[in-house]
Amino acid sequence: MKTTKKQTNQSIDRKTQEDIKKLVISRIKATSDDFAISIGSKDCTKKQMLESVEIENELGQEIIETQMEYLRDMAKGAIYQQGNDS
Amino acid sequence: MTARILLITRPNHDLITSYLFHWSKLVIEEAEKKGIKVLDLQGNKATKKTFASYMKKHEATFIFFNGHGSETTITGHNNEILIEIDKNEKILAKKIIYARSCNAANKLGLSCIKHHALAFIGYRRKFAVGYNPSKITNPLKDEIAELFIEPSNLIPISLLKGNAVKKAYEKSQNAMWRNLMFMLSTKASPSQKDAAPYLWINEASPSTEAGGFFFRGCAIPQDAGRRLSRCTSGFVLQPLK
Repeated sequence: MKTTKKQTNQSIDRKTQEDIKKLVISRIKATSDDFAISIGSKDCTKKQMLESVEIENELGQEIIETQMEYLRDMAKGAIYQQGNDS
Repeated sequence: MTARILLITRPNHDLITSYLFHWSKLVIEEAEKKGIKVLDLQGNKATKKTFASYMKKHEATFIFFNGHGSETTITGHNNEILIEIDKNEKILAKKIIYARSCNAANKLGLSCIKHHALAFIGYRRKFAVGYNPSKITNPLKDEIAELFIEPSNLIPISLLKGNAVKKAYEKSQNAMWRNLMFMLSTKASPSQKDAAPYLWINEASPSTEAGGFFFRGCAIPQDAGRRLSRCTSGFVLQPLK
């Protein structure tokens, strides 16, 4: 069966999502055991962060978005730009 | 304009409210130093009934909420709703409000302004606090949480010192950015460095939407709209006369 352009794009998206997840998991694994986070009403330790990202629950998605937003803004220089605006 | 009576809610029923409870004490101390009367709805006093009663009896000019929230609510002890959109936000008319609660600057903040609040400062997204699990029994000694909560304390402290709302907001944002730069430096501990992405979401957002920012008739520097529109913290403001 011929693979359509849409199917190819979906496959690339899935692959990207998987790569992003792996990247975030690696970043969390590298964090200190002395660090935990409370986002909204949810508190989580390093172990809980890893579990949440692994199963991609609401908190896990929040963590993934946060980490990616930070990395993108760091790459764009937006973090330092904020200071220049101050 | 200086707030002469501060009404503060600081529930203390879970980890994050416990942190905000303890760190808010520093704001109360600052108010007391300035001779400002403080109405402290702490712990299980932060209920809808007590809050409504205090709002009725006292002419508080500045209301400082600590607790969980959503786009439409701000809560108190055991997440009891204190303020809800289209229900009772009218009681905040002519007040300056700082809501250290998730998401409340979105719909609720706008609604408060529509109902004649003088100013509403809050968060358009979830409020994150990094912490050290070994310090949860002594939040004021938590060197990670300090980086998150101290800059947010600057909003009420600056207001109590007589700064305008916009100035108080800017001071807080600048302090948050300085903390972020510290976290990226070699002076920070590994756990403080690890917390940097979460402080960044408190401070900035790639969103360029203009919603959430209301400047009615006051002079704003040319770059302010651009800078503030990038911030996660919702900033709903009417000029202070």
